Amino acid sequence: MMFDSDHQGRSLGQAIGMSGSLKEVAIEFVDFQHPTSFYQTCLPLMKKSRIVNLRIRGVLFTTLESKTLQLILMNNKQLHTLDFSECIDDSR
Amino acid sequence: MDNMVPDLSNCIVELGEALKVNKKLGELSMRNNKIKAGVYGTFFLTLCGNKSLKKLNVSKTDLNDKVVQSLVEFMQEGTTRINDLDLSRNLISDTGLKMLANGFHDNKSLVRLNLEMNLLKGEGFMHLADYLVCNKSLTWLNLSGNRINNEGLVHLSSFLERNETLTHLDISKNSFSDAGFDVFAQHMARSAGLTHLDISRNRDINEVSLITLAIALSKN
Repeated sequence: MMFDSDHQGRSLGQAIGMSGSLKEVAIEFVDFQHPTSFYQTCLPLMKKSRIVNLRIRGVLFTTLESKTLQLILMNNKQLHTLDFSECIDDSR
Repeated sequence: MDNMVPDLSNCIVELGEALKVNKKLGELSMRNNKIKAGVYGTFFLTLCGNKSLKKLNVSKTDLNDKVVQSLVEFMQEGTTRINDLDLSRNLISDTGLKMLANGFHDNKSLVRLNLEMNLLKGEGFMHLADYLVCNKSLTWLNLSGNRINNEGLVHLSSFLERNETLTHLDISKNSFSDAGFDVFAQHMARSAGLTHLDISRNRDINEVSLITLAIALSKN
């Protein structure tokens, strides 16, 4: 899956934020081509959120993705499990 | 475009800093990532004081003996609650195993330790056996896919009759032969705690050694 515009991340982020029952989010092998789309997707996780299990596998980590993850961990008081496996792939 | 260069080393430092503040995260998996040794060591030292992490998976992350030193410092912290540590598919040798075993001596939280597919061979198992003799928390140990030779297996065997805590031991797919396995089998007769033993895919063990093990188990 490729996110090459800002609104894709924002839409997904809103869906995560507005859900009253979602506890798990898996963002796996998504190509965040637009620089802010990962941030927009994760924005609700930096606020009060019900998500307890977050899987971010196979995502290209730039400085922005790193900072986003840092902000999630510093602000989220609910998250219990974080999986960010396979985020660097030599072949990329 | 500089910020488009993948750099998980930077991410790891930032993650460590964030985990100083985070008091909730219980499980962290960083499996199959490339992390520079120097930065990796700093990450573990930054984690010192963390009380929430219980499960840590750093499988296939190029973790070598140098990084083990920092990991041990983190695990020696009285505050650590890690009970499940996955170090599989890394670059830990006997030197690293010695550091782990000596460093974990006073740790009372670790229940599961996965050292599958590292570079473990012989001498380090003397220290691992010493650790297991004293340890009262570790119940699950995976040593599969290493290079355990006869010397290593003989060293490891010495813990069998003096540990009642470990219930699961996997020594499949290693390099020992009958000479080492016979000693292990004889110790198994006096083993007090093991309920699961995996010795599969050890191609240099013959039927005679397996009969020795069967006889030992009948006395167990």
